[in-house]
Amino acid sequence: MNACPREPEVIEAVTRGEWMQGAPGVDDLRAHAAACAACGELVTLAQALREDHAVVCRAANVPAAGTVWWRATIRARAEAAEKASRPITLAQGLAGAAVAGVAATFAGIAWRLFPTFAQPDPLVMLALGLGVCIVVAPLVVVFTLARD
Amino acid sequence: MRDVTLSSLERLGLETAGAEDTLTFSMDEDAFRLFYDRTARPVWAYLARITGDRQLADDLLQESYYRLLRSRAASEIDDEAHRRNYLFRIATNLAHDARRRAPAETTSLDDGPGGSVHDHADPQSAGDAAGRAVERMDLSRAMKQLKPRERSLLWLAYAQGSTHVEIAQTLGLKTGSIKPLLFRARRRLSALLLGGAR
Repeated sequence: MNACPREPEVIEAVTRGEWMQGAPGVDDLRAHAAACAACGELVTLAQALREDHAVVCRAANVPAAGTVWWRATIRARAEAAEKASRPITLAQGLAGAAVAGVAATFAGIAWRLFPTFAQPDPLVMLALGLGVCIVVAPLVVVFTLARD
Repeated sequence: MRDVTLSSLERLGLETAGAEDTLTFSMDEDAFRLFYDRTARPVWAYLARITGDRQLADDLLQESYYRLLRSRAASEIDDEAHRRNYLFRIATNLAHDARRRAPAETTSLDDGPGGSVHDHADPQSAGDAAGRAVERMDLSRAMKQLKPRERSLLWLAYAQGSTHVEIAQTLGLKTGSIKPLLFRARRRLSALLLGGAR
C-alpha cells in the first residue's frame, strides 16, 4: 500500500473532529476514504488514537499547578544551596588533605629520629595514637557539623 | 553529593533575603499556572503512552516542567505553541533517557484506576463501552510493541494533531523525514492491530 496524496486533508478532518460531525466537504472525503485503503486505514487509526487520547487525558491525575511550582521552587533552592556550598566542601577537602600530608611528613620524620619504632615501644605507640586522635577528632567534628 | 537539609535551605533563604530573586525560572508563577493548566494533561497522556508506565509518567511530568522552568532557552520563547513544543521535546528526551536506564515497563497504563474502567448503567452503552475498552487495550498493547520513536510519532500526529513541523521540533528530526517515518509507523501499528484481531 502506498501513501495517498489526500491524507493531509483526511487527517485534518479527523483531528479537527469534523469527521463524525459531517462538516461541509467531509462527505467527499468519506467517500474517498471508503475506496482508498491508505486513507481508510488512516481514519481508523487516527480515530482510535484520538479516542484513546481523550480517555487518557480524562484519566490523568496530574498535580495542581501550585504544587508543581512549589516543588520546583524548593528544588531550585536546594540546588542553589548545593552550588553555594561546593567551594566550602572543596576547601574542607583541601584542608583535610593538607592535614593528612603534614601528619604523614611528621610521621616520616619521627620514624627517622626514633628508630626504636621498628620495635614499637607501647608508650610511644600510645602517644602516637593520642596524637592521631587529636588531629582526627576536630576533623570529625567539623564534617559532622557541616552536614547539619 | 552532599546532602542539603531543610535547615541549610532555611539558612540560605534568610541569608539571601528573598530567595525568590535567586531563582531563575523561565516564566513567572501566574504564567506558569496558565501554561501548566493548558498542557499538563496532554503531556501526561503523551508520557504515559510512550513509556507505557503511569508512575513513570507522573515522575517525568514533574521533571519536564522543572527543566522547562530552569531552561534559559525557554525563557526566550514568547509564543505558547513554541513553548509547548519545547516542553514536549523535554518530555520526549526524558522518556528516552528513562527507557535507557530501566527498559522494563512496570505499571501498565491500563492497570490503574481510570485506565479502562467506566461506569455505565445502560446495558447497551455498557456493551459499547466494553467494546471500546477492549479496542483501547488492543491499541495499548500494540503501541507497546512499537519502537519508542514510532509511538511518539503516531501519538503526536494523530492523537494530538501536531503538524509535521511541530513533530520534527519535538523529536529533533528533519521535517522532510516525518512523512515516511509516520507512514511506516502507521503500517506497523496497523499490522500489529490486525495481527491481534486474528
